[in-house]
Amino acid sequence: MTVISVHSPKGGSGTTLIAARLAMSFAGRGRPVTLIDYTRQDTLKLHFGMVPSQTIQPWQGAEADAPVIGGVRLVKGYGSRMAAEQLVQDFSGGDTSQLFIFDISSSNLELRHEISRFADFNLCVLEPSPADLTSLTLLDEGQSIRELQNFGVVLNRVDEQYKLSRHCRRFLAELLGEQYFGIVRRDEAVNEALAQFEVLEKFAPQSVVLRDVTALTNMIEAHLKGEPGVSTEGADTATRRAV
Amino acid sequence: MRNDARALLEKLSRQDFRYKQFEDPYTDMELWPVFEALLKDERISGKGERREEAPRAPEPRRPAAQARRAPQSAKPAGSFLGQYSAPQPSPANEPGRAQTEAVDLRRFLGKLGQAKS
Repeated sequence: MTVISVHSPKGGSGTTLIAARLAMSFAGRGRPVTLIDYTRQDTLKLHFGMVPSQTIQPWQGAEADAPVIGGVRLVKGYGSRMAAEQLVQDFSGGDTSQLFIFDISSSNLELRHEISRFADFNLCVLEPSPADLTSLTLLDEGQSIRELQNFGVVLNRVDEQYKLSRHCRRFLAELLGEQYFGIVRRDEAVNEALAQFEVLEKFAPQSVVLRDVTALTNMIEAHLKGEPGVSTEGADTATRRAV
Repeated sequence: MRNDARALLEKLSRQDFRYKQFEDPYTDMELWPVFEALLKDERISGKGERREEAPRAPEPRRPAAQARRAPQSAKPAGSFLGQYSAPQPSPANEPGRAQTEAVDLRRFLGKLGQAKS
């Protein structure tokens, strides 16, 4: 059983997209994945082609069913009476190959801390903006981010035509070293797919987001296996060489 | 144009595809004050570096290793953060900051840069 938390200290950085894409990416590799939504906005379902009127009820126990789409079981954690760790125990059923991914609201630092105690990896999602970088200072009380274990940062919605976006990318890569988990580039096809109630693979199979998340998945997989010096074919390989 | 871009255009049977490679030469990198402020923040960089440096005697303003990397007009080729190792005009630079602290910060940033270069 493996647990990954996806969180950002600043709202609107795209944790839901990253959590959803990671879940589908791992599921595509044959891993049984449960994606647990701990956000109030209830938009995770859109990334799986569901429509706004379709609701996933907060998980209250075994009496309810959780939908499985594209090999990913979707569970609503927000509003559930059950503790996050108990929820994982309930769903794992002793299956050690199970992967649990938590999408955690930016405002819920308490939950982030709670889940980080048993998570195997904690992914922080930032946008290349001064506000997002500054929010890193609020991530953890008592520890600097460079001291955090099983922790990584991915830079989301990178647009290389903008200078500050490129510079933020280089700054974080050099500052964080092995804690830097690359980029996911901005692609309007993500929004267009959501507007069509389609999954991204079907709507825009050539989307750069798919390629970047594949690279991110490779890096997280390598980290979970304890492999040092990850080498990927992903989007940020060139940057890692450059810095 | 890069070979892979040219190959892509040929594959698409296009010649007028707009192409631009966004790659900053190190000499064009800007020193954003927000980066410097974050580097000085213990919540980002940790307290360990300063605690480690504090008992040591103050060092020359520009240690020999760093002197080879400066001056500012010839920015270090292997490190972006290395550019922050010299004092920059910035609101984050408080005028009354202790000399030893400034030295420690330069050493810290220099180490960061060297580790990645």
